[in-house]
Formats: sequence, structure tokens, C-alpha cells
Amino acid sequence: MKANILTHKPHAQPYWDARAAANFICGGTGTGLLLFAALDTARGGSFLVPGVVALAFIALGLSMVFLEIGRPERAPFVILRPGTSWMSREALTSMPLFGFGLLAILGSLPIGARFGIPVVPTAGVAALAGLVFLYCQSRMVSWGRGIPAWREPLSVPLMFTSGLSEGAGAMLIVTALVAEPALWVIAAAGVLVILRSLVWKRYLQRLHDGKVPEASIQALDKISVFVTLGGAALPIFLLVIAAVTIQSRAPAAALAGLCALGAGWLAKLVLITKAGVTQGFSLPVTPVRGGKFDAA
Amino acid sequence: MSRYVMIADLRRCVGCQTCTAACKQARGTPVGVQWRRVLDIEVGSYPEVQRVFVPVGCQHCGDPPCVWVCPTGASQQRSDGVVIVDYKRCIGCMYCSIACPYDARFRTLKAEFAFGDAPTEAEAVVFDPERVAVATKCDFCIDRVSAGVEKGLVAGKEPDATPVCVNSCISGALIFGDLEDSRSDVSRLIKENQTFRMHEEVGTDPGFYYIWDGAPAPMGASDEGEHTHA
Repeated sequence: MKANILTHKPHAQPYWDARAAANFICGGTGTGLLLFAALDTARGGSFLVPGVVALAFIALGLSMVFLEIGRPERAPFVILRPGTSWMSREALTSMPLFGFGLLAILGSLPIGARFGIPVVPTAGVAALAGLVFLYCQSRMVSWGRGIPAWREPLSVPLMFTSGLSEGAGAMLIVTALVAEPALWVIAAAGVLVILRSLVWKRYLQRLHDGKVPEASIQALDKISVFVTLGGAALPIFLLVIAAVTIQSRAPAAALAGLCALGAGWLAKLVLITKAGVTQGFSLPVTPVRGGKFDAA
Repeated sequence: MSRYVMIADLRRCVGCQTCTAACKQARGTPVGVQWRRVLDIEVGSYPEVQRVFVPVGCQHCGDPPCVWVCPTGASQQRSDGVVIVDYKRCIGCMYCSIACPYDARFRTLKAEFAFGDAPTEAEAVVFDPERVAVATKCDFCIDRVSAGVEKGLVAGKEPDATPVCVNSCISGALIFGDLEDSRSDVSRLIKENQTFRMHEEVGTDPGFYYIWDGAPAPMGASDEGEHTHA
């Protein structure tokens, strides 16, 4: 049903839909994965596959925004206000992210190695840019001053920890497909999904305690069990199995990664598309039309 | 330095929507877009219930979040406090709309007219293709106001230096002027009456004041916003 944006009652914001959510989903997953790929590369792993997947995720997210804006031909203008706009900062940060990320990928290939392109430092810079990119995305949501559920300050750590958790989940899946997930990734994923779950619980509590439209709270409450049990308890169980058993390490880690990934995607999708409810209008006083004589 | 603001006297607004119609006619906004609209809100609890008509639109905030979040610089705040959109620069991302606590911004992805795909004669006069697929909003008719001020007229006093919604208001409920001018109607009315601003807790310093209750207007007070409340 199309939202009635002319009403005085709280209503779903009509402009940022699943495409905008996809930018937060893919951007978080991609930058999180980029961080893990760079760290793994520093420990002797290959950057090629996780690096390519990470950049593909981020590019996919940005292209979703391109599809959503009203005037795509003016998209380059998006970088013009880095002084105040987190969206400009996000767009600008994507430049070193892709630049150094592509260099690191090139360095991972035989042709890049022939030219002596160093993988570890370039991947490291790309990962740092990725962290800044993720932070910009997290702050973007919190500047939704018209959306009480978004302007709650805990939306920043929620988006940030979710991105890192999704990245860890994606790293588990990618490495399980090509080799065996490293124990340090399994441990890091465990810490991150617990952290995200704690932030999620606290965030929801803050929404319940604050002046937030009921529709926002209901939408988030509905998925809370998936985010906490499906996105933390279940992956922790699977990660423990992956850590202690050699034979089932790869499938258990991949499944845990899938849970971490799915919970984050679900949380962001619902946060942007369902919980993005405006505060509407309310009067802090009770005006009397015609003055006090008329009202008496 | 000026700070243009608007006042809505909630004791006077009768909810006739003439301001809405005047704005639509003068600015040619598409179907479903109302830069100036009047909310019909029920307040109180039984048996003390009333309808209150509340004109809303862009509040031209002193600290406008829409301007801070805009990634292109299309949303701007003029030195007189009026928040405008440079339609040639806007990419239509609608981040400004997300940031606005007042539902004041609109986007229509294709040109829409009252009776189908083609504009009526009146719509064709004011149709601006630059306003398609970008964020649009009330700008206090600033071109009109500025032109009037350049001719030496006083903003909010003479119709040629006043937004069309204010000119059209049948009950004198909408008042416009310069808050920095202590002799202006808006300065005096804010000083002499109880006022509130919408969602002040968000900290945007809105430039739209609402007068409510207060002592009754003395007998014989003019209908030009000349309340002299005790």
C-alpha cells in the first residue's frame, strides 16, 4: 500500500526502498569482508577471491543507489559536499577503496606480481578505506532526523557491528568454499556476532523506552528472534563445532557464516524499509480556535 | 541581516485550505504534492475534544538537517534563513527528506498533471521540468519576496513581497516577515503571544511559529494580525 505522506500521523518514509537497503547490506558485507581479506592476506592467505567478492558487493550496493536516485545522470555530483554530508564522504571513500582494492587484486595475479605490486599494504589501505566507508554508512542512517528509529544514536554501532559481522560471515563462507576457514576468523566471527546481538538488544530497548512510532518497534520486534538466536546463538553453536572438529569445520563455519550474514541482511532490510517510520506531527499544546472567550 | 519566518495563528486558522490551493496554483506542484498543507488534527480527550487546523510545510529551520546531509549542495540555506533547493544540482537521492522531521519534501519521478499526461493551460504556465525527479519543497516564494524587497517593499507587509499562501489566507492566520526586524508583525506577534514550534526537541530551530490560545483579542482589533494581547 502506498504511504499517505500528507497525513499528520507517522507513516513509512516513501523514498528509500529495498534498493537503498541493498546499499547498506552490500556495503556492510563488502567492507567487512574486505577487512577480513586484508587481515588474512597479512597472515599469508590469498586476497584474490575474498577481495574480488568484497569489491563486487560494494559495487553492487552503490549501483543500487544509482538505480534509486531520481537523476542518475547527475550521480557524480554526490561528492560535492564532504564537509557536511556523510553520503558525500561515503562516495569519496569509495575511490581509494576501489583503487587500492583493485591494485591488491592485481598484485594477487601473476601479472601484478611481475610488476611487483605489493598485496599486503594495498589490501591494508583498501581495508582501512572500507572501515571508513562502513562508518560513513552507519552515520548516514543516524542523520535520518525525521525517522525516530534511525536517529537513535545506537543505530551507528548497530550498523557498524552488523557490517563487520556480515563480513566475518562472508569470509567464513568464501574460505570454506576454497579452503578451510582459519581459526582466528572463526573466533573473530564469534566475538562479532555476540557484539552485534548485544547492540541490537540495547538498541531495541532504547526504542521501546523512547518516543518511537509503534510501527517501527513492531517491525523490529518481529525479527528480533532471528537476529539474536539466528544471528548469534545458532552461529556461536556452529562456530564451536567448527573450532573443535576438523572434519566438519568447513561446512559448520559456512553455515555459521550464512546465519551471521542472513541476520544482518534481514535487520538492515527491515530497519530501512519497514522501521523507517516518520514521527508525524503532534501538538505539544491544546490550541483553542477562536480564543478563550469562544472556547468557554 | 534578515531571518524570514512564518507564523500560523491556530486560533484563526479555519482549515479552508485556501493557502494550499494558492500554493498549488502559483507554484504548479504536481498531484499529491502540497508544499503548504493544513493538517486537521483532533486534540484532547472526550468530552474535551476539538479539531485543530495546523498549517505545515518547510519550517525553514535555522539548523536545517536537510542542508547538512545533502551530498551535492543542492539544498542550501540563504543568508536570510530561507532553505532552498537548486533543482539543477539535485540528484533526487531524497536523503534530505529522510533528514527532515517535517515531511516537507517531495519527489515525483515523472511529470504529473491534474488531468492526465498533458498540462492544462494554467499548469503549463508554471510547469518547471527541472522539478521532476528531484527533491522539491516550499521556498517561502523567495523569488517573489526578493523581487518585492528589491523594489523597496517590506517583506510580509505588501502582497508583492509576501508568499502567496499568506496573501491568500482568508482569516489572517498566516503571517510572514523578518524576525530580525523588531518592528515586523512576526517579531511583535511572537513577543506578545504564546507560541510553540513543531518538534523543537529535534533541535532544528524551526522558522515556523504557532500561536495558540492566549488572551482574547480586544474588541475592534484589526484582522491584519494586529493582536494586542495583554
